[in-house]
Amino acid sequence: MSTSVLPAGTPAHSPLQPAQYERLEGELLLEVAAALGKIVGERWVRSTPSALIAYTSDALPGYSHMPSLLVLPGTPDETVAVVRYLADRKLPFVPRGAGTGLSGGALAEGTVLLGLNRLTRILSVDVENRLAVVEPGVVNAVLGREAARHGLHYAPDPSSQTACTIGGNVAENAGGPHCLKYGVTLNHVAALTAVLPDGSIVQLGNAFAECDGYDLLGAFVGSEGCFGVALEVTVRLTPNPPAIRTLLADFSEVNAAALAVSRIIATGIVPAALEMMDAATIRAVEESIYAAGYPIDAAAVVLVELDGLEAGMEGEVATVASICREAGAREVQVASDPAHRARLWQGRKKAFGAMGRVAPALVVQDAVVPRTRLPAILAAIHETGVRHGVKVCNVFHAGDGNLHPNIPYDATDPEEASRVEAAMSEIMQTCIEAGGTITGEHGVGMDKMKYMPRLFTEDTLDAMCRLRSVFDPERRSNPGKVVPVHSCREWQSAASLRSPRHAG
Amino acid sequence: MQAEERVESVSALAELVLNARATGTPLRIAGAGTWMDAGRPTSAEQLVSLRSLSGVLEYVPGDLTITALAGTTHAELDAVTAAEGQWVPLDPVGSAAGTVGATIATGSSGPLSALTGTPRDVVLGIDAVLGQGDVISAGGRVVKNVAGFDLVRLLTGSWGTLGILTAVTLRLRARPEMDVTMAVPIPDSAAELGVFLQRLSSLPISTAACELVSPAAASRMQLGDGSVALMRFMGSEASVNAQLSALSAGISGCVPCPDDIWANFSAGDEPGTFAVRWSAARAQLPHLWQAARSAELALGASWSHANVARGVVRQVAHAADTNSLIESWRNVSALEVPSQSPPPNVRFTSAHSQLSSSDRSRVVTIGERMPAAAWPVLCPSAVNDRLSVGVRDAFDPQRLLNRGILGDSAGDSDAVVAAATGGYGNA
Repeated sequence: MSTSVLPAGTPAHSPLQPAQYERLEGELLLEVAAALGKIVGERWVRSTPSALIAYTSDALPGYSHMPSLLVLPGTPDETVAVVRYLADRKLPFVPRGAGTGLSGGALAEGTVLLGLNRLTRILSVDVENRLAVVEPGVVNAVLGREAARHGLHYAPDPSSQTACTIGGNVAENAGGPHCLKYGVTLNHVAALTAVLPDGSIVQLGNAFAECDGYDLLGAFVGSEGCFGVALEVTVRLTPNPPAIRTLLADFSEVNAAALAVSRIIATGIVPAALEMMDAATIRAVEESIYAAGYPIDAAAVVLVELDGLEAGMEGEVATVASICREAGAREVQVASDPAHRARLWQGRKKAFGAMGRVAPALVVQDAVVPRTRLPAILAAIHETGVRHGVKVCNVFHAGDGNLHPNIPYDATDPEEASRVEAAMSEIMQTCIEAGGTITGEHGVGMDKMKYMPRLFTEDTLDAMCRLRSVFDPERRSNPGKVVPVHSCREWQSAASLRSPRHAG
Repeated sequence: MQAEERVESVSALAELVLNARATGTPLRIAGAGTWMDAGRPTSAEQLVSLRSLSGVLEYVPGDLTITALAGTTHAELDAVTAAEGQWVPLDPVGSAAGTVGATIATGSSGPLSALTGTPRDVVLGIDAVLGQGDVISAGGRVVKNVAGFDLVRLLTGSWGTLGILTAVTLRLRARPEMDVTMAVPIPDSAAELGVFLQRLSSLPISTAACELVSPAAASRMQLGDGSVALMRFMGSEASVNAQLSALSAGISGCVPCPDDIWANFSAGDEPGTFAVRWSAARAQLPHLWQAARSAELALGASWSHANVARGVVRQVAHAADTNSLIESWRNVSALEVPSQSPPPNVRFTSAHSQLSSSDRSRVVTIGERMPAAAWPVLCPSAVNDRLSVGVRDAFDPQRLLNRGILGDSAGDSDAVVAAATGGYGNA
């Protein structure tokens, strides 16, 4: 059975099924399933719809795509063997971690889904140099617990951390509330070993020393599975700060809360985290099992966490508290014991989950705007919601201007769905026009590809495509994601353009 | 050989690159031209200066970000941001007369990188003209951004070989209430230095910079006859004063430094000197320092400094005899720290594991300004692997931009040294 490339110009079956590749089905599917079964063991290959139904979406409720086959290697060696087999057969594949993504990045349509979540070993911890080597399927919170045993922590803390994997974090360059002060995943990855789609193994970065040459590690982290599959990741662990103070300020006006956030940032204080939730979100949380004791009549709450040396901490707390009060906060709570701190955080961490009570479907956005524009943007978002008759719930990383305007709705109602779609597009446009970006941490995946041409010029998108082709010339690793296919012009092979080399 | 071309606009630059592409003319990119002797010998037929592409494009102090054309000097950026009580978290080698474009292109960093990270952690957006004349705008103006593939990270530290930077957007920091530097004598032997650094890390302090400095530089800064550690504290008055108390209580012999100590520090990089950096696992810094000090003594006219947080030792040397320079520096590069037994908490390592003990003891040498003959011996090129060649092919297939500066094989430095006479090499 041939796996021939379809003629150029053949229309794609869907954005996820680029024109070059046939749908994996029939005899070919059986053949591939058998071959992969020999590599990973038969029970770790699934190819029936009933077994695959759980893998048809990630954490974004709006999308459903059925892969042809799921393969779950148990070790890095098995993973490499799988990738090499797929390379030989010229088959595309989609790497997937825990499926907690919010951009539809780990969805496959008629192709192979390569699940990494059996690779769960923490291979080593070097306390002296504050490094750990982990396999891509290690859950973020599990790494955190291991680090805690040594008085350290792993700083990137996305809300999904109890389920999401380090490999997934690497693919998306995940953030989380504490990235405001501590940086995103890339700032905490020192090196990684990856298998490229052609089956070759590369080591990127350097765990122990400076790296000379191009920042290929920086290019790989955040490449959303389009450049290859990480097999081992060397992460940096962070010492625990000696002092932590967590404050919760509640406001009777959203504008006042946004103003407080802008002012805190402008002082130059770098909070460890600075989060905001609006009334709709607060109510959703307080009505759920995650109730955290937030004031349900507040228009917005701001959660500020400060950490560092004990010396100077009280001064910073006082400054932040007085900024909040001057901006109009009704009350400012300060937690100084771990239990109280955990309660204040609970509402924020579980906000997304609490939305599930409000309506069966949820549209999530991830735009970033300059912090000085926060008050204006929040007002515009509210106005957009009112005009389209949809309810926008804002929960977001106010400290870096990373908004998550979420809209719960009934996806089975096409009229409501189209209003939601229109509202989201308008919100995104507002954020772009304010000098922002379309995604701060969730990634482009499939969900935000349509916005890429609004944000980047054709030449820039083409440069991204060319970069991708360096790692994956056949475009088989997570095809059809991140950059719209029509933005990738053909580029001639380097050999024909390069001028003759110097002699010697 | 064509004269220097000073571009005044991005479109003029794009046109220049298109012409170069049509005629196959290799280009040498320059900012203010203050660090042209850095990097490997290049072969070029035309010098392109971006010094006139200068000025702030957007500055919103409340956002703590700034966008400036690549030819803007650090002096200008410092003035603009200081007026708003802010500063640019870049600390490159060289003076404030250098351009921000050059700092981002070379990824140059200094003592303050302990606090701020390297340029790759600071730059948010880059506009550039690539090797085929295409004009791109990568990243953005906001502090958090994962849209698309990361061209910003790739261009930063690429030494102009993938694209010519025309504008950059940077994070900013607020000027601290207090900015104080203390100096304390340190031992040079690995064992004693290790104890000292352990002691330091146990104190309730958080330094913005902690830089070891060897005697030649210390005495130039009037800090005595031996090596010293310079410790910089930035923060609120309450925080800094408390840290200074803790420091004095924990370590004896600390003296305050004058305000211009860091300007004095960077003045040690004189014209005509050679410079190199070594790094290894942080825990090995004391051994690296000891080895670097031995090399320094063997060479005579030189000085060393080390960034404790980043585990990097840098040495700057005059050397009439480049052979003994290469020999001394090769000894440091070949340093093998006696490998310690694996830490007790290692569970097991796989065949691919990054944390092998051989990695731990390997010293990485990164050249800055070296004699041409030293490059292939001390710093094998890091851009001749398949992926790096592919990246170069994608962005500058004809190798028009700073050919050879990273030791790319199309501009093999040995061949270039022999062949390039009268070109814009490292004169």
